[in-house]
Amino acid sequence: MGPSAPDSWNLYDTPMTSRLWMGSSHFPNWNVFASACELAKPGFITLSLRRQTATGGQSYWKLIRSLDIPILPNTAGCFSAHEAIQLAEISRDTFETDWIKVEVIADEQSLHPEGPELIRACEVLIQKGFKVLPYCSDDLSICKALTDVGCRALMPLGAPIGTGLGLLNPFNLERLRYRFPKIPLILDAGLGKPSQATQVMEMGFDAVLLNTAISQSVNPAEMALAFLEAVSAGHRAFKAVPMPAQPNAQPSTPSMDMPIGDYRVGAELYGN
Amino acid sequence: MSKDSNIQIQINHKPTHLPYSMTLAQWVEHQTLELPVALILNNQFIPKGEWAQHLLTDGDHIDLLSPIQGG
Repeated sequence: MGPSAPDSWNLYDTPMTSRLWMGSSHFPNWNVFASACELAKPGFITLSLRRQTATGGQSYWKLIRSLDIPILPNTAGCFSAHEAIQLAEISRDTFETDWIKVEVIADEQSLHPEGPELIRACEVLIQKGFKVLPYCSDDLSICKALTDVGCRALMPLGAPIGTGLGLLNPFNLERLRYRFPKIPLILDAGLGKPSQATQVMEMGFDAVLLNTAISQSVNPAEMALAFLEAVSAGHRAFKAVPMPAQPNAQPSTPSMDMPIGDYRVGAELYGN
Repeated sequence: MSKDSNIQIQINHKPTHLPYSMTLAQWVEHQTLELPVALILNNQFIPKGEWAQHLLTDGDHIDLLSPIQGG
C-alpha cells in the first residue's frame, strides 16, 4: 500500500473507509455542524429518537439527509435491556437501518455503561438481525461477554461521556486490542483533544466516535479537521509499527570519527 | 370514510380533534411530515407497516417520536 493510499476496514461485513464518526449534539447551529461534517467526512453520524411535535426535528433531518452520511441510531437514555431493545426496534422501523449503537446506562450521574443488561440487550438484538455496536466499559470480562453473545465490534469508553478527559485507562484499552485482534474497536466517549485520538489509534483501534470534543470547541469545523488528521496520523503510526521503547539513550548521530572532543586530542591539548 | 367530528385524541399529551375518522396511516398523511416518525399508540409501538390497520378512536393517545441529535 502506498503512503497516501486509503485503506478500508470491515464492520459486520461492511467495508468502511472513514475512521472518524461523529455525534450531532451540542453544536452551536446546524451550519456549524454541516461544516464540521463536510471537513471530517465521518463514517457515521449518530442520532436518536425522542417525543417531539410533528415538525420538531424537521430541519435537523433535512440537514442529515443532505449530508449523505450513513446514520447510526443509538439507544441513549435507556437503563435496561428491555428499554434498549424496544428503542432499537423502533429505530430500525423508523430509520430503515439495522445499525444500532446500544447504550444501556448504569448510573445517571456518570453515564457509565451497564454490564449484564447491556450484554442481554446485545444478545437479543443480534438474534433479531441487528448490527450491534455496544457502548461499553473497558472491562475485559464485559467485552468478552459481549463478543461471546455475538457482538462483532466493541465501543469502549475512554472516559465518561462528554468529559473530554481523554484515555483514563490506556492499559485496559491496549489489552482489549491485544485480546480481540480481529474485533473492530471504536473508541467511544471521553476524548477532548486530537492527540488523545492519535494515542488510541496508535494502539490499533479502528475508529473513534466524537461529539462534544468537536461541538464544544471554539471552532468546531477546524477541530473536526484536526481530529481527522490526528486519527489518520495514529492509524498510520500503528501500521508503521513504532519502535520499542528502551531505557538507555542511543545517539542518533554516529559518534565515530568525531572531529572535536576526541579523548586523544584533549590529552595533547591539556598535557594529560 | 365516516364523518365524525367528536373524535378527540392526544398527540404527545396535547389534545387534538380529528376532522373525520381515520387510520394511523391517514393521520400521518394528513400531517404532511417531511421526516421519519415513530408512533406509539396507547403505549404500544406500531410499526409503519401496520399503520393502515389501526383506526383511531376517541381517547386514543399517540406518542410521536422523531429524529433528534445524539452522540
